[in-house]
Amino acid sequence: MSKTTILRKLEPIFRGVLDPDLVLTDDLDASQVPLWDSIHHIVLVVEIETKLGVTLSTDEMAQLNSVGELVALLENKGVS
Amino acid sequence: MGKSRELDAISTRYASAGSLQQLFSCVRDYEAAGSPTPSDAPRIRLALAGNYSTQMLAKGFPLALAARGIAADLYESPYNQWRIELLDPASALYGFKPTHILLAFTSVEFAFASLRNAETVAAAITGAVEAACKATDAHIVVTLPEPLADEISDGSGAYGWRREVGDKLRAALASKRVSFLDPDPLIRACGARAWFDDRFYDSAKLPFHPDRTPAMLGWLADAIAGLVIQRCKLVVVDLDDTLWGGRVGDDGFEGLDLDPAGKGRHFLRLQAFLKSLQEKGVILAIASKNNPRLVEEVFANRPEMILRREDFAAAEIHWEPKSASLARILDRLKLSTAGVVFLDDNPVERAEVSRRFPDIAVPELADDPAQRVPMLIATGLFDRRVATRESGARNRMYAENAERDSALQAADSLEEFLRQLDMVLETCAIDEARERALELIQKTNQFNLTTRRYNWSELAAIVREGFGRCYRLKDKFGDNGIISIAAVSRASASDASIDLWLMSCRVLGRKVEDAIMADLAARSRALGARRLIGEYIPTAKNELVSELYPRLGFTRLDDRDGAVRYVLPLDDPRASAGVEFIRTVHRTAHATEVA
Repeated sequence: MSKTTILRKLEPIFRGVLDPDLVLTDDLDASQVPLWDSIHHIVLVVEIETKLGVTLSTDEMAQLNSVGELVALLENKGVS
Repeated sequence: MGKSRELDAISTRYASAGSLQQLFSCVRDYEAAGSPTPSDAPRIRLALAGNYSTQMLAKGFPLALAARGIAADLYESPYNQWRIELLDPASALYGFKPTHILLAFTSVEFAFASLRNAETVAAAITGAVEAACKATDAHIVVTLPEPLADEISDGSGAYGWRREVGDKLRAALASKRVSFLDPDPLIRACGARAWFDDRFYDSAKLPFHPDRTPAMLGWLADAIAGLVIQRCKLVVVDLDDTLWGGRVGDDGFEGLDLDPAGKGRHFLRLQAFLKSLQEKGVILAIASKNNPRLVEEVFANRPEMILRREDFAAAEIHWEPKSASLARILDRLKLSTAGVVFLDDNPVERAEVSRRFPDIAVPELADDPAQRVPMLIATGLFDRRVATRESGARNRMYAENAERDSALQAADSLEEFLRQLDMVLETCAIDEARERALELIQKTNQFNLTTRRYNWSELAAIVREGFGRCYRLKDKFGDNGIISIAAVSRASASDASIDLWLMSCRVLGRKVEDAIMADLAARSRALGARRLIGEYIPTAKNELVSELYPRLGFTRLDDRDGAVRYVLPLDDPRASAGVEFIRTVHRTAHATEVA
C-alpha cells in the first residue's frame, strides 16, 4: 500500500526530470531510460530530497540503481 | 522572428531558474527550439576546463550566453584535465581554437587532493595560464579558489592560503588577456549553508549544492558576457539642470539646488550614480553650455557636490554645439564612439548629438529629476551584468535613436539640423504674460543685455510709447515656454531703444535671438523709428552677450553711463529679414499666453 503511495509521489518527479511520458514501475532502472545518466541521477536525488523532504547519504545516493531500491529506501526513511 | 521570441520566452524562464531541474528544463526547451541565438549576436568559442565536474555548467552555457546576447560554441575539457590540456600545445582544447578559456577551480580539490598549499597552487595555475597565453590569443578567465564552509562560518577571514593564491596569480599574470573572478561575494549572496554540500563532491565531484548551478552559471556567464559586449566606458554629462538643479549663470553657485532634503536630492543621486560608475572604471566628462569661471565656482564653493572637478577627465564648457564638444572630448581622450553615453536634460541638445554621432547612446532624461536615475538604470547601458530584457531595452533605445536619426539624417550642417526642428516663435504683448515676464526679469543673468530688474509699473512706463513683447518657442520636441522678453522705448522721434532684452540660455545656439531681433526691428520701424539703439551694460554674469549686438549687425555708437550703445539703421531691409527656418507668429489671444 505504502509502496504504491511512494511510487505515485515519485512519478511526477521522474517525469519532470527524465521523460514526461514515463510510467514508473518497481523494476525500472537507469539502463531502460536513455536520459537517466549520472548527471540526471543527481537531478533526481536533489528533486527527491526537496520534494519529499528527505536527506540521502552519499552512499545511498550511489546505490540507487533502480526504482525498486529507491522506494525501499524511502519507505525505510519513513516516507509514506 | 519566431525564433527570437522563443529565445526571449526561454530566457525569461531561465533567468528565474532556482534549481538544477528548472535549469535543465530550460536547456531542454532551448535545445528543442534549435538552440537559437539573437540575430547578429557576437559569436565566441568557449573552452571550459577546471578541477571539478563542469558537466552541468557546460550543459547550461549555450543558453546562459544566448540569453545575454552571445552565440557560443562550447568545448568542455574532461574532468580535471585543465593542466594537461593547457600545457600540451597539441591538446584538444587548443585544437578547438577557443576565443575564451574559462578555468573553474575549487579549493576542495586543491586543498585535499592535489596541490595543498598556496605556493604550489599558484605556481601550477600560473604555469598553465602562461602556456595558454603562448598557445592561443584567447582571453582567459580564472575563478579563484573559493573559501570553504568552515572558513566562512569562522568569520575571521581565515582565507590565508586562498588570498595568497589570488595575490600571487594577479602578480604573476598581469595581462590584459587574463582576468580573475573571486567567488566570495557569490557564495555569501547565496549563503554558505545553501552553497556547500559535501555529499555532492563525493558523489558527483561538484563543490557546491547542485541547485546552486544556475547561480554559478549566471555568475560565470556574466563575466564572459562582460568581456564580449562593449559596456559603457565614457559618460559625457551636461551640468545645468542635469548635474545640479538650476542654471549657474542665472542662479549663481549659491542658488543651485543641491538640497538633500528637497528636489536637490535627485541631482545628488545622479551624481552618486555617476561616481559609482567612475569607481568601476567609467570615464566622466563635461559638455556644458556655460561660463567656465562660474562652473569652477560651483566646484569650489558647493561642498554638497558628490562629484569633484577632478573626477572629470575632460570638460568642454563654452557655447558651441554639444556635438563639437563631444568630438573634442573623444579626440582628447583618444576614444571611439563605442560605449559612449551622453546625458543632457535638453531634448534638442540630445538630438543634435545623436544626429552627428548615431553610435553614441543618448538616453532620455525625464523632465522630472526623480525619474532620471531609475530610467538610466533601466536602459541597461551601465550594467556590468547584461540580461536579456535589459539588452532588449537597449536595442529598442538604439532603434528609437536610429529612427530619430533617420529623421535628421539628411542634415549635415547645423543649419540643416535647426531647419528640421520646425521652430515656431510666438510673440505676444508683454502684459499678456505679466507674471512670467517679471519672473524672467528677476531671474535672468546671462543673456540679459541690461539686467534692469524692473517692477511692473516701471516696465509699463518704458513701453508706453514703445512696445514690450514676450516670445514663446515651440519646436518638434514640444513647447519651451516663454523664453525671451524685450522692452523697447521711444528715445526720440527717429530712435527706438531696446531698454530691456533677455533670453533663456536653454535655447541659445538656435538663431532664436536673430529671429527676435528681426521682430523688434520690424516693430520699431512700424512705430516710425529710423534707427534702433541697443545697449549693453556689462555685469559679472552677462559676458555671454557682450558681442551680441555687433553679431546682429549693429555698429558701436558710444559709451554712456557704464553702457555700451550700438545702433542699427532700420531702412536696411536686412534688419527685419528674420531667420528663414524660424516661423514667427503674432498672437493676440489673452488667457492662453500666460505661462
